[in-house]
Parts: sequence; structure tokens; C-alpha cells
Amino acid sequence: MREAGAGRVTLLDTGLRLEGHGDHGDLHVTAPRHLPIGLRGPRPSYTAGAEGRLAAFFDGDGSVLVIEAGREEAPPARLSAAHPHHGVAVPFVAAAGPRVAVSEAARAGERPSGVSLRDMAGAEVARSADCPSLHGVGRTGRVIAFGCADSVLLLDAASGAFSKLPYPPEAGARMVRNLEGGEDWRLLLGDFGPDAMAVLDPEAGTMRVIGLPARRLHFALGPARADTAFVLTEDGTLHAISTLDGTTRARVAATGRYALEGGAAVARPRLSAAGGLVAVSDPARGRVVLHDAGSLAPRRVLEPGGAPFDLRLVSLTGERH
Amino acid sequence: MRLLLPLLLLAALPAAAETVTATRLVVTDHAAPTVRILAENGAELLRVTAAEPVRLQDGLHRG
Repeated sequence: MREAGAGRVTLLDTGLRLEGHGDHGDLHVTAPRHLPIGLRGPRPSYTAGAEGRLAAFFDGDGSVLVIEAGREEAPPARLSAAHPHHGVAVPFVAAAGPRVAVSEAARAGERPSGVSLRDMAGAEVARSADCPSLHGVGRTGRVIAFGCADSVLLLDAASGAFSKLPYPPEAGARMVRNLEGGEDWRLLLGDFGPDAMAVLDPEAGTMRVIGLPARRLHFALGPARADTAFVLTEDGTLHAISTLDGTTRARVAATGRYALEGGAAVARPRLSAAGGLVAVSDPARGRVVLHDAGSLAPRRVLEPGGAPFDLRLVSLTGERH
Repeated sequence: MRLLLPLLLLAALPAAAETVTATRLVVTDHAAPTVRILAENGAELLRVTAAEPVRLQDGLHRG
């Protein structure tokens, strides 16, 4: 959980854990916990976890704090971008060892325009300076992707090599600003302007643009079932769209109408998908509805009250002996 | 005697495992800044008070 004003990132343990045994995983379910770990710095803006490490980027000074799974209470490793900016940091393991991809800006406060790769001591080992107006990051397989004004910048996490996937000629001023990656399908789902989505196949080097019937409020991809994108539009309609061919598989009226105006601090509906369910928050009604991910039929209504602001659905399947 | 070994092997097999799914919802509140973890049936399992409305991001493992 990220509290930008308080300068703090804290961690919650959902209590769900899968213990791998090669051909199967054992599911362990315990009580959730608020972990006694606080990553502190000015204006935390982004966290990402992968391959046993979690990195938090702090906009206020461009610093990056990295902790390791199993050693969360040890002092974090501290890295830094060259200049403070609104940025991202993504940990990964390359053939040469653990690395962190850090966004970089030409001057303090400017929008980032590139990515440096740093080792755990903070030394820069590679850089791409070719991602104007960088915003948003996602990962599928060994590919880490960054949204840029003219393309999506792709980083091969194994080799550390950069490449670019350009936008189609009709893109105009649109760009990918947020990305989600699949785990079963090697694809990335991104927003693309206010009323379209983009599906990227980094191995084929292709990008499909899918138009929406109205402006988008939020979108989600169930990482373990990435053949379907879920998009909520401002008229309150939830859409299930095939990421494989762009067709609409189902749609349902999920919330009332919400306006996009007012900025990111306004509570609007959010989506999260996992375990065959799509959770849709409805701040005006103080509720969250769990929809079937296939038919989009409502399965359960949860009424936590208040004004739900953000949500994450976490689901694990495993064996119990 | 020929049947003895197969019978012993069968007896040594563990009981069949049950495949189960567990789901939890993490939700933050804008009106009274908190983070709550709910069971799939809506039961509240954990509540944490926050200093401001909280955005969530994925951590070390994903569901």
C-alpha cells in the first residue's frame, strides 16, 4: 500500500501462499498480516515485484529502495535515478545477475525519456535513451515493456537488450500509458488514448488496436488467463474482450455512470481480475461486485461501505493434502 | 507371492490431494482511509488505518 503524502510504502501479506513441488503446488492459507516493513522516501509513486525482489520508486528524490523476499526486514538496497522525476523501477534477474530497470529523465522534474539498467550496488550497466514521455510498465515472460510517446520500449530481461515496437501510423497523439502483462499468454494489454486498447505481442512484434464504444474508466487483465481483457467504460458497462482476436465476448451493466473529470484523486470504479472472477468497485454505492469472468454475470455483492478507492483480487489454486 | 509386491506399492500411495482455490479481496476506502482484506464471502479478515486514501500495487507474488 502506497501513501504518497506520508512518504511511505507498507506491505500486506494476503495470507495466500503456493508452495511449489515441481508437478503441483500446495496451497497454504493463513490469516493476512500487516508486515512490520516500511519503505520511506519522498512521494512514493510506483512499486513492482518480480523474481524475489520488490522495488519502490520515490518521485521526490528519484531514489529506489529494493527488498528481497525472505529478507524483508533487512535494510533495503538503495539505488537512484540520475534526477528526480515521476518514474518507475522494475527488478529482474538477468543472465549477469540481479538488475533494476529505472526510468531516467534528462533534468529534474522533467518527464522520463529513457531507462537505465542498474546492478544492486546502483552502478549503471546499460541504458536506452529512446523512450520519450515514458509512462507505464508491464511484464510478460522475459519481456519488460515501457509506454513511450512514439512506441513501446521492450527490454529482454535475460539479455538486457532493448528494442522498440512502434505504434501504427494512425496512432496520432495516442500512446500507451499503462500496461498489464499475461503469464499464460505472452502478451501485453495497454490503454491507447481514452477510447481504445492495445494488445501487444512482443515476440511477433505486432500491436492490435481495439476501439471502445465509450471512454475508458479502468481496465484489468487476469494474468493467469490473459486471453480476456476487462474494460469498464464511463457509462458503467463492463466489457470482456478477447485479447487474441479483439472481439467482445460479453458485456454487462456494472455500475452507474461516472465522469472522468477530476483527476486521479477522485474515487471511481476500479477493476481487478483473478481466479475466474472480476471485481468491480462502485464508490457511489459503497460496494464491490464479483462477476464471473466468462459470462460477466454477477456472482456476489460485497458491501464494505465507504467509498472503495482501489482494489486487488488475489486468487491461488493448489492442492491440499 | 507374485501379488504381494503390487499390493504393497498400492498401500504406500498417499491419499489423493484435493484441488482448492482461495480468493481474497484487498480494498481501500477513500471516505475513511483504510485498507481491508476480505474473504470471498465478504468477511473482514484485516483492517489497517492509513494516513490518506491508498492506491495498491502488486507485491512480490501475484495471484
